[in-house]
Amino acid sequence: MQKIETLFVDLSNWFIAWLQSLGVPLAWADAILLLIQFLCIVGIILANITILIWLERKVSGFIQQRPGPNRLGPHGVFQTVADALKLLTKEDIIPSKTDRLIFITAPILFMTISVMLYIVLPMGKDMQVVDLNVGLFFFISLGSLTTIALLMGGWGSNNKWSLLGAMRSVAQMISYEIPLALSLMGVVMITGSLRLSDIVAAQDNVWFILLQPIAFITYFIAATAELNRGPFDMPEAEQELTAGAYTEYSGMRYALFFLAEYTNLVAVSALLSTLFLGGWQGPWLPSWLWIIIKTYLVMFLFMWVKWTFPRIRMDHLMAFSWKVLIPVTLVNIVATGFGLYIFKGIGG
Amino acid sequence: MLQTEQLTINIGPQHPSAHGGLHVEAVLDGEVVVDAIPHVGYVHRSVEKIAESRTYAQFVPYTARLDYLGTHLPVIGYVQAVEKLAGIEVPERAEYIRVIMGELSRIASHQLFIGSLAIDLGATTGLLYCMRDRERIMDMFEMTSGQRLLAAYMRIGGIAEDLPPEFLPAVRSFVRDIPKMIKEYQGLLYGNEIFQARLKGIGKLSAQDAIAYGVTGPNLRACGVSYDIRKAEPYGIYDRFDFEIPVGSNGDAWDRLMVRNEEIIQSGRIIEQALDQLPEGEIRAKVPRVFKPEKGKSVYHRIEGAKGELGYYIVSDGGEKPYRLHVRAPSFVNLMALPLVSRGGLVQDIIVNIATLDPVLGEADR
Amino acid sequence: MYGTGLLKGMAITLKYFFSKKITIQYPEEMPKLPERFRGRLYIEFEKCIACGICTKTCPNDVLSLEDARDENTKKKKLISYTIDHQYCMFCNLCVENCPSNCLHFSHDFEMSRYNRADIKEVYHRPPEMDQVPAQVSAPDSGEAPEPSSDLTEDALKKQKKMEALMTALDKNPVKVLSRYVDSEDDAQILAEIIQADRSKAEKLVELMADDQEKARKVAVAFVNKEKKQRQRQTEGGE
Repeated sequence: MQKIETLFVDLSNWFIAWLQSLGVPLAWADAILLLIQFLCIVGIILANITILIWLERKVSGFIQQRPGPNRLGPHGVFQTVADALKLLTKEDIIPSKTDRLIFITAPILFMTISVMLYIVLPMGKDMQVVDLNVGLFFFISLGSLTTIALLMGGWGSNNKWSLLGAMRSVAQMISYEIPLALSLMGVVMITGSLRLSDIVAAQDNVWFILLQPIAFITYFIAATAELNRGPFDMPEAEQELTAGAYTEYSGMRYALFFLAEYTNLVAVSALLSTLFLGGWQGPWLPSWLWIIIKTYLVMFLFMWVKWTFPRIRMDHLMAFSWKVLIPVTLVNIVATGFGLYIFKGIGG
Repeated sequence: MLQTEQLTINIGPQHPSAHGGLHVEAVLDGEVVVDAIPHVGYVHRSVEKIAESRTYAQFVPYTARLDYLGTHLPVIGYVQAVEKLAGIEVPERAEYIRVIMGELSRIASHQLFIGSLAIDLGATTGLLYCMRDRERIMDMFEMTSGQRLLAAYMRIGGIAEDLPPEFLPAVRSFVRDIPKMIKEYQGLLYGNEIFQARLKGIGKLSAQDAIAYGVTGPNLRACGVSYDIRKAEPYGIYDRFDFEIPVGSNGDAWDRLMVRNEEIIQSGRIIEQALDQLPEGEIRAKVPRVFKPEKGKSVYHRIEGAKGELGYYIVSDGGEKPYRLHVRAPSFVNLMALPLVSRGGLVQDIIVNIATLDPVLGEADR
Repeated sequence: MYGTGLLKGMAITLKYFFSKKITIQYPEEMPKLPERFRGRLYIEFEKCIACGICTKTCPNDVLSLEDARDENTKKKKLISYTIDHQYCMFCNLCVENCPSNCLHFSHDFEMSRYNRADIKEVYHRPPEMDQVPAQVSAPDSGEAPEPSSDLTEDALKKQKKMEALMTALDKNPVKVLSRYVDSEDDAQILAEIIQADRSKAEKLVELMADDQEKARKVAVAFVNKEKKQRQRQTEGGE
């Protein structure tokens, strides 16, 4: 059992030892290991996305009392492959008067930022690519860079509806940044550190979801808005006027936007399970399996919310963020402060 | 001051929430709607002209295609108009069966209304639950006439075929399940705070404006006017049933939804009473094979369709084909209230207003 | 509390997540169709009497037929029958009004074709319908062959037709008789006459199988006689 638990850690240690035995200096060996870890992350992301697209369709089907995709492969597991092949073979249309550099770079930037989020996530005991001491801060700040990519997509399309959709989307994402960051402050206050591995370690006795339930809910809502998903997908919905910032994209570029959104979703779910559900801690199963299970549970929660609720109107959305979520998170911080004071006073 | 410009955009005719083929030209000032002009006519099939070259009995299937979501109601209206024109009396059993079929069609139409409103707002699951419940009604129609949606089951003088034995238990079990169905819609849709926030206070229509524009049906009743043709001018045997007319108070989108929801329950009551009173007997009066009404006679007969007052104006010239047939389509008249209701609101509310005015473009364009 | 409605909605969707799926997996499972389902139209060629009611009743000109008058018996016979499904509304007017019940709706709903021309179905007169029934002769047994029946082929057909008309008259007299008189009321009177007097029914049936014009004249005569009789009765009664 112990061997399975430390499988990946042992593997990387063995790899460095082997490279050193070949005469490579330690710094170089570390760099090569880092490169391989990046590639592994990309592989993990691709695998997850493939499963996730299938999972979303199956979950939505089951909620609607229908089986979802079930023709290609057992239970339709090859549906994503078919969709990806279809998108790859589509014609790549770039409208004529667009700003080509911005148009082409937008999806690439979106995807890159989303991939960079995985660097700080703990995927098991001692299994992080880089254990930054400001890991949480890094995560939140990178998450807000995605707005630039969206704005680039909208501007570069040379289409007023795309620009309209992109600006709405950006307004939504910026408004929900603040509750996003503020709701995590409670967790940071209890832990006393921004390092993600410390936060996981601090959940030894009790998971933070029990200590900070309001923070969990507000972070969940703010994250749904950040991901342009669920009840907050007004800027990119079909029943509204246009497809938002993604109107002019076709084929693989369009796919890249959606893949980037799903990548973001997995990252946010992993963060939620790290911060509130105890990370990789759990009895009996290896740690990297636990975090997978918890991440998928949180993703199921996201999907469940998306397929149940209607869309929120734009002005209600903004009003909700500024007038409801921010005060609630501020109250949560104050309450956490009080709680800590009393707890330290009692505990000594 | 910043110089701003008004933007004109087109919603539809090819649009996921256009309810048929409706084209709305929206003039916007930022997010606020200055005007929303509906352009209809994309589904025009010249049904009224076709009527002039078909005999009265041959035209019956065409009427089903007018309001295709309220399956039997437009057909009932037409055959009753022709019977009024020629003075034919329909046997009792046929009248009761017509009432049952008509009210089932009304329930089906309102269920689709709720489902399409849900998906226009983004709750896709709502549509699928409403469709699943509507399948039960379609199965009942299939049992009797062989067709699910465009059943040509009525004939001049009565009904085509008698009910099969499995129909009555199916209707009874459906009527028993109506309260459970409404409770589920309440839990998933009406109780949802987001849903309520999207609908309450949107698209207010005052009672005077509604009467001035000629809006009828559930839209008028939502404004507070208690006018239902089944009670005001009973046709057929509607005066034998005991039911209430749901009336709203504000005239906004929420009231229009609630009025239709309540109508489903009242239709269930009517069906139950009709089932209890159903007599035996013939199902079709004797109509001569070559059917020629009096020359020069004209009749206007109106019924309470699922969307409002559905009227048929038939002029006869003594031949076996009508000289002129005009259909007063409620969706066409109701749609003309769209600009009034949308002005001053937001862009997303145009979608909500179209959905709650419940137009069926087949009827509006004929 | 704000938000309970949201949670109730989520509870409902979760309940359905674990419930049985209602989809019918189409090509493998066929839907259960009720008896009166209206699928593709088809005609039983032998029963058709080429009256043309269905072609006149159809609102959309879906049905068309080609008939010829038989030289020997002076009756109409059907040569070919065309059903063009692309215009069909499935309104049931043709099936309902067919006097010999030969048009039906099948349960076949898979009517897609690759060409528009393939949707049209043409039924041609099968050659067996005009054949003489074969003589049965014993092989070399020495016996004289069984004498063929006294009736010729035409007489056999006439007898069959009379029997069919008799059963039709018994089942729905008004419908059959309304073709020989002017109005429904007259048909009703005629029905009463033949129910009362069987010999008149047989005479009428023989004429119907033979000569339509003569049958019409006789039927109208019966009706007028009966009407006069009844009028005299009411006048006598007053």
